[in-house]
Amino acid sequence: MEIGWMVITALLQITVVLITVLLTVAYMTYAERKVLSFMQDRLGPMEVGPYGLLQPIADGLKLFFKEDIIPAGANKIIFSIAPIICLIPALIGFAVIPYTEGFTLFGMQGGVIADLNVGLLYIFAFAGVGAYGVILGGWASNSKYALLGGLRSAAQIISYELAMGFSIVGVLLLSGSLSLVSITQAQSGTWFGFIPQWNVFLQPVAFGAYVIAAVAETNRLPFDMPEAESELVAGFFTEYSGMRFAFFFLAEYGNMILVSCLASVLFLGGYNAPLPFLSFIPGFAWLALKTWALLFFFIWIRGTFPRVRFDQLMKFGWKVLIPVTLVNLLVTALGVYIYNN
Amino acid sequence: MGLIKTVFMTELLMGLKIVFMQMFKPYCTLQYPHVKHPIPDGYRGLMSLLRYEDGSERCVGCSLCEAACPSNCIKVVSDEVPGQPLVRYAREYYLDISRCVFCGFCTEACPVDALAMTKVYEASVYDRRELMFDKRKLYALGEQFLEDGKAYLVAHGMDDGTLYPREGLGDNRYAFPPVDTAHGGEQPEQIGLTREALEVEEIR
Amino acid sequence: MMEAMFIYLATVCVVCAVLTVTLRQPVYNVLSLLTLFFHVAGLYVLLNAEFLAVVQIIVYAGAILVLYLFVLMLLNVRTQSRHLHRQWPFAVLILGAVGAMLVGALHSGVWGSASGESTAAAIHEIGDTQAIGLRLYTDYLLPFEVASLVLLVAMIGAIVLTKKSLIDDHIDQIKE
Repeated sequence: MEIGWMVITALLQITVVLITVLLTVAYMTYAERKVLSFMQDRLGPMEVGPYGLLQPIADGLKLFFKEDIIPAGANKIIFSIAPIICLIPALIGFAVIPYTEGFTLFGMQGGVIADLNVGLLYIFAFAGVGAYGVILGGWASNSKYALLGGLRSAAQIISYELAMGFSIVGVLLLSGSLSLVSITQAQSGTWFGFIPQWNVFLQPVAFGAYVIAAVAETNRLPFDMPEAESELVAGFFTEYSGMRFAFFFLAEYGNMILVSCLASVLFLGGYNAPLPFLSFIPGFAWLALKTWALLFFFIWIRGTFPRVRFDQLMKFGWKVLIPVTLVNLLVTALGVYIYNN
Repeated sequence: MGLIKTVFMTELLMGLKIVFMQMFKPYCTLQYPHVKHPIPDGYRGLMSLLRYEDGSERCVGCSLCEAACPSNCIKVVSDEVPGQPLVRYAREYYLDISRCVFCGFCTEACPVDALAMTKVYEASVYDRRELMFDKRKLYALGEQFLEDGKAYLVAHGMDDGTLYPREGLGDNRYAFPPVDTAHGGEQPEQIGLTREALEVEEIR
Repeated sequence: MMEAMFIYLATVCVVCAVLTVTLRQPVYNVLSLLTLFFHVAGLYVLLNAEFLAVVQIIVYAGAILVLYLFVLMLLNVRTQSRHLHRQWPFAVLILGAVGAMLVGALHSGVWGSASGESTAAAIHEIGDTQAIGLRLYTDYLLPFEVASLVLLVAMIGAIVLTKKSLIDDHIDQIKE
């Protein structure tokens, strides 16, 4: 009986979280087009529905009914599973994101689908696996552009995962846990009554490094070397069309939302309200607000910065970002040691 | 100073600020199918053939437009008006608009200002054969966009609406404009090389 | 439930391990190795070692295997036409010997029961991450440091090997 309720609550939470994430993905594409348009003195999509609000649905339907082309000479099996390998890690990470304060549903704990004690590492493990989808997709397409995109992506994701990992170790030292629920709970409350106890105020360098690494990790401009349109047509998904292309697209935006959620949880206090008198607003609204702010930042830098060269990207990752995060880690460790004694 | 600028990425932040402020500026695009740009009278859109006010065709089938066309997209089949041996007209008139380069030379060449260009620029069709305009289609266009065509001729200085008097022509189709005698009947100065001079140039 | 999970994971592990060395297409080899790593991680989870499981995926699947794939694609290795190499009798011999040793060890009861402080209950109490950390940085600090030193040496060696021409150029410049 107990197990039955457990399964039901888990499925309920999974459904709610997954639908929210997929809706966010859909409207993220809309928001991206709109915000970019405003930044470029345009209006963006206006035709489908009022102010183009139904545009994501139209796009989804279009992709669903498009012809599915497998190029000649492609490895059919790997070509088919690569988008799936790409998509699953992007969605699976949301299982450990605490979306609101803990509550009880049918006698089961809610608020997060699975409170793993290694939740953070779990997300990182699957982010690394997402790179396989990109590389294999690029390789199986039997196309030079796709192969180059895949190789670039592999090098980029591995390089920036290191910097990303180093940047969050400081947060782990501060909160003393790998569980995202504990990390969020450690950030409730305020200092002096008006500064929220968020890690971003203790780890500003780490936050900056994390955001830069996250942009590179999700292959977004200005670090979108794997799909650089002007050089590689579309990079690793050049040969993809229809639903398979949609899967890659979903994975890219899902990853963006995931790293934004993670940044909110690690550095911006997750579902905690910034000040006590604002806590009447529910936790998931705060998390959504913080995530959307970061997503807006993603679009913002896309609208501002030109694409960097590949050697610049690698140089920045290895020679700037990793040393900076290492020094930050050293300083944080010293600080935590002194504070605890 | 330079190091501080690099560390705090001031240039990047400046760029971000500019882009952010751009968001609050009014948009400068048109919602195209619903709102369209006003088009000047001199615009060279789809071709059309015009009629006189009394409904008779202006075209006299002289084929000068065919000769002037740089892309050879015009084909005129000239014929006599039945029962009037001295009066000619275009029995057939074909214009392949998919090959047309919209230069407007044909309208310049036309001695009777029968050709005019409209302001229509949305020429897409589902069947490419529809882009082969025949006489009927060209006259229909001319009827539909008569004002555009007239405005085109005026804008290009070919017709101010008074040049070709239609009164008292009798059986004739048209009359050439009266010679301008204000300058003592002299011909205007030759511009460029004469035909003889051109031949000399070629021989050289 | 646990046993069923174990049987599934162990079976897939063995099958994938065999496929890794027998499949002809190099990319398929890497993919089966990836599947193997995931199922080994599953075995770690069954042993209450979530930290190890995740690190297994991060390090092996997320970093090392990607580099294998990287190299495979850069080198464009041709698929082997022969299914088995000439050395296969030796391979079977060594495999049989190691297998016999393993079976013998299991039967003799050397690893029959878990002993020591790190029992499942103890790990559950303090958390497996903390348990590993405590063991690693107190009892096994010296081996840990030696391992990191070895890795450092390897890293410097790799840099020296790849940057050899640059160093030579530099020496030439000094000579001039």
